[in-house]
Formats: sequence, C-alpha cells, structure tokens
Amino acid sequence: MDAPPEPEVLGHDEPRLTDRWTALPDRTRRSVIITAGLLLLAGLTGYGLATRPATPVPTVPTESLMPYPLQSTELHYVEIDGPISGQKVFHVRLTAESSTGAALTHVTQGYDGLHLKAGPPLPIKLPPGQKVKFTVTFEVEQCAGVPLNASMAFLDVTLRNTRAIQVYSAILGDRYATDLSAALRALCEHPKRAASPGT
Amino acid sequence: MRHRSLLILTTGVTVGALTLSACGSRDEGDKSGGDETTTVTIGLDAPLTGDLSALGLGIKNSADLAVKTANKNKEVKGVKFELTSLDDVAQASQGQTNATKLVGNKEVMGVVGPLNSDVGQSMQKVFADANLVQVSPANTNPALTQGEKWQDDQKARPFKTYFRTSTTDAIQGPYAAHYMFKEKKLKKVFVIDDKKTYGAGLAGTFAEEFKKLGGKVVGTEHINPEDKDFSAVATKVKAANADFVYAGMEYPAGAPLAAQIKKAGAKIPTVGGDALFSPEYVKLAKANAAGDIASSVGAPLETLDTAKKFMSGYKAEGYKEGYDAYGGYAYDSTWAIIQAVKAVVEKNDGKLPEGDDARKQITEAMQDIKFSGVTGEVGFDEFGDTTNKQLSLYEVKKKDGKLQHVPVKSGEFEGGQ
Repeated sequence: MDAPPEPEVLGHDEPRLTDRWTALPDRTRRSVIITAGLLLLAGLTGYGLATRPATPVPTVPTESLMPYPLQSTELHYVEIDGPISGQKVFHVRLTAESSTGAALTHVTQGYDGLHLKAGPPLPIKLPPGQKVKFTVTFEVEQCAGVPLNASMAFLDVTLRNTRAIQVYSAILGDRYATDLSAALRALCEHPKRAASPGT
Repeated sequence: MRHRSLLILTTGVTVGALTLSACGSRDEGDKSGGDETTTVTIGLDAPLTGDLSALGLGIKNSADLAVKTANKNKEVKGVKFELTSLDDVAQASQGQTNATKLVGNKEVMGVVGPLNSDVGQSMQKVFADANLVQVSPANTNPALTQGEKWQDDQKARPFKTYFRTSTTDAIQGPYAAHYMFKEKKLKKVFVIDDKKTYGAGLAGTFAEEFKKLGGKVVGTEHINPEDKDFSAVATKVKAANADFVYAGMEYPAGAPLAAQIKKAGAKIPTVGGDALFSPEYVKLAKANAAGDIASSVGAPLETLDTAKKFMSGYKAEGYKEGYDAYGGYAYDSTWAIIQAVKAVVEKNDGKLPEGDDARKQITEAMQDIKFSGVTGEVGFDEFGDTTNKQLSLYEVKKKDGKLQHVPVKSGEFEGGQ
C-alpha cells in the first residue's frame, strides 16, 4: 500500500518556534540562554547609561582644602572707648569671625609712637562660625609721627590656621578711620579735652 | 535547521537589547531636540590691540573661558552663551561707539569691560539708556560708581546698570601711601600722572593720604601717555631729591618713565597702581624695574583655591596670551552676567523674557548676585562696587631666576559693622 501523499501546505504551517526550541539539544539551549542573558544585561546597562541625568562639571574645586585664613576670616570695628582723661590710652573694640576656625596671633599698626596691646591676650582662638569680641588698647608713647588725620586706617593682623599663616591689613572702614583720628587728636592736639570717663 | 533557530533567537534578543539602548539615546535626543535653545550674547569691550592689549587680551580670553565653562556645564538650561568682542583701542570715543553697537545687537544681554576708567565713563550712559548691564573687571576710578563728589561724603550712584568686580582707587592709592610711609620709611615723593581719569585720580588719592600721614610731595608733573621720551621729567625728579616716584599711569608710559628716571641717576623706586602690575612692565623696563612697586586689586591668585582652577582651565584652553592682571576679574564679571541670566530664566519659568524686558530684568537681578568666584566671594554693594575689597602690593624682585612682581603685602577692606 502506498503511503498517503503529504498534504499540501496552504498558508503558514511550518514547525513553530517552540517546536524547534524543544527539538534543540540541551547544550545548545543552555548556550542560547546564557548568550541571550548577557545581551539583555548589556542592553539594560546601555539603556541605564543613556537615560542617566547628566552630571554637571563642578565649577569649583572638589577637594575640600582648608581655605587660607584671610579667605575665611572677617574683622569688624565696633567702637573706640576713650581716651580717658589723664591717661594716654584708648580702647578699640573689635569682633573677629572665622568660618573654618583660626587663631589671631599678632596685631600691629606700624606707626612709631603707638604701642598696641590686645585683650584677651594673644593668640586669640576663633572657633568656627563663632563671633569673638576682643579689644586692642592703643597707648600713645609719643605724638610725633602719629597719623592724626588719615582717611584710611588699618590694623596689620596675623592669622593662623592649619593651612597657613597670613599677615594682612584689616582696613576697617571710614568710621574707624574717623574715630581713630579723633582719639589721636584728642591726645596729641588737645590733650586737655580728652574725654573723662562716663562722658 | 538548529543553527537557523539559534540565529532567530539570538537576533531577537539582540534586537531587543539594542532597541532598549536606542530608546535611551532617542529620549535624550528628543528632549534636547524638543527644547528651544536661546542664544544669549555677552558683549566684551577692551583694548585688544595697541599698547594695552596684553591686559585687554587677558580679559577677553578669561571671559571666553567663562562662556565655554557655562556652555559645557549647561549652567543655564536652554541657554547657549556666545561672546562677541570689540576693540576699544583704549580710547573713550571708540568705547562709546562700541557701546552703541552692543546696544544695537538685541542678543546682547550684558557687557564685560572695559579696562580703562575713562572708556568706562564714556559707555555708562549708553548702556543705562538701554537698560543693558555692564560689569567691568578693571575700572578703578571711584566716581564711576559713587559719583563725582565721592570724596566729599556725597556718594551717589550715577548708573544702575554699571557694576564692577575690581576694587577702587579710593582704597588702592591710600594703601600704597601707608606702605611707603610706614613700612618703607620713605617720606618724600615726586608725583607724576598722565592726566587721564584713572592716572590722575589714583595719583590724587595717593598724594592726599601721603600728605595726611606727614609725607612731603616734593614735585608734581604730568606726562602725555603716548610719549616714550621722559628725559626732561627724569631730570626734574633727580633734582628734586625725592625718595620715590608715584606714577599714576599705565605700564606703556610707566615702565619707560621708571627706567629713564633710574638712568638719569635717581636710583629710587617707582610706585603705581594696578595698571603697572603686568609682566609687560618688567619686559619694558627690564633690569630697571627692580625694586618698583605696584598695587593691584584682589589677593594674589596663588592664595585663592578657586583661582587655581581658573589658572589650570586657562592653561588647558591654550590661549596665546596670559590672563594678566584682570583675567580672574574678567572671568568673575562674565560669570556674574551668566548668573544674572540664570536668575531671570528661573524666575520666568525657564524662559528669557521677550525684548527689552530681558535686559531690564537681568540688570535688576545683578544687584543680588552672589557666588564663589575666581577672586573670592563675588557680590555688589548699593553702588555697584564689589563687596570683595581685597588688594595687594607687589614689588619687582628676582624670583625663580627672573624679575617679576612678587606679593609683599595684602589688605582687605572690612568696612564697618
């Protein structure tokens, strides 16, 4: 008896993908799964990288270096007390503040005839972010060479932190210059007019 | 058959993976493609040719670096910055012409410059009339921000559109006077200026303070800044027996003047302001520059961490000319404009307002701009002056085998409380 003829294939009736998959040897199927897994992983990684938000390039250095003391410290003039009648001294009240911490180790002004003394005694510790009040006492030892009418006045200050020691001029503004000149003139031009305590 | 199945599967997975990848790129591409990018032009005016071009080109390159950095970092979303530079050849009339040209370009939203104070003065009103903000990295004459009567305690800001990142001569001249009198112990000065806004103004603030301290001005002279032969003035300086010379002028005249004074037999230092603080000064005066002193705005760049980043960035860009005295200030001036644009864009839902309103809002925003810049903390006071008022004195000395300006003293204006 002859075998029945193969039915004509009409349309798309080839073996299905699942039929072909199950027909593959185990070893081949394992290789395909591993390859597919790796490719999927690569694809997902690529997708993640492509859609990640752009990281802006920083405009300032990223290293956290301690700033130089001058860059992190501010000095402010508050007022002048005195001069007191009969004495050749007056007191300059100031505040200092360091954002990162520093020590104020030296205060001078450079003019002959003027002697300066700080209180509390130097060095004055400036804890980070804390405003510290201090006083510089001026003693006029001789009036010759003392700037009686300067429009600018400053203190030369030495600051120290863990990174550097810096000497700089703290230019304390017009009000300080005016008050300083008035105090010096009171002592050197009109010593009898020097203010009495309480006035 | 087996191989064919394997190929189908592998191809399917690969296509899937690549599709996911491609989706990521396309999303970003769509995003940037979908967003409108506005071009904002920053104008720049400085002497790009002529005797002062070393300073001017340092300003231009530094502004260019700021613009490139902003674009690279996408500092302002949806905004691309461009720089357009004009040469004022250090002439006030050319500066005014350039100001008019910049005002006429509707894409210009801010201007950096100029170098010279007299050029700055000639531009101020043009920009004010158009509400176009101007930030100078180098003008130091106090009148530009505080009015002509600034010395009489009648400070009045002439133009709301004018700002600067450099310190004024109100501090620079007197600070040098104290240093020479107090620390160098020199009591007799011969004062020479070039009759220009900057030079005469600086010499005036110096001489006034020097006299108040007890110093003596033993002679004064005015020179023509275009001259190169100062032998007649040098002879007068020698005859006056001065301890030093104060020169209110720029380096193209200041350097030959200082050299000729020494050659005339007066072995005394010449002291001046920031316009003498340039490597060009030492190049021109050569060995005769030794011992000369210049004050300059700001702290020495090597003591500023942010400046180190700027210096390395400048080097990496490979600019032919150095950033010179005002490079850091030009970068900060440009960055201030970029930040003002950013503030306005953020205030207006990510868009720059239309027409003249954008310029007006950017000028208003500038008043409140604050950032950590190359030269320190950048901000502006009620006059448009920088709140960062540091300055330094430099002496020409031998360092690393060559004569150069070496910092000798720094100061900071702390103001009142």
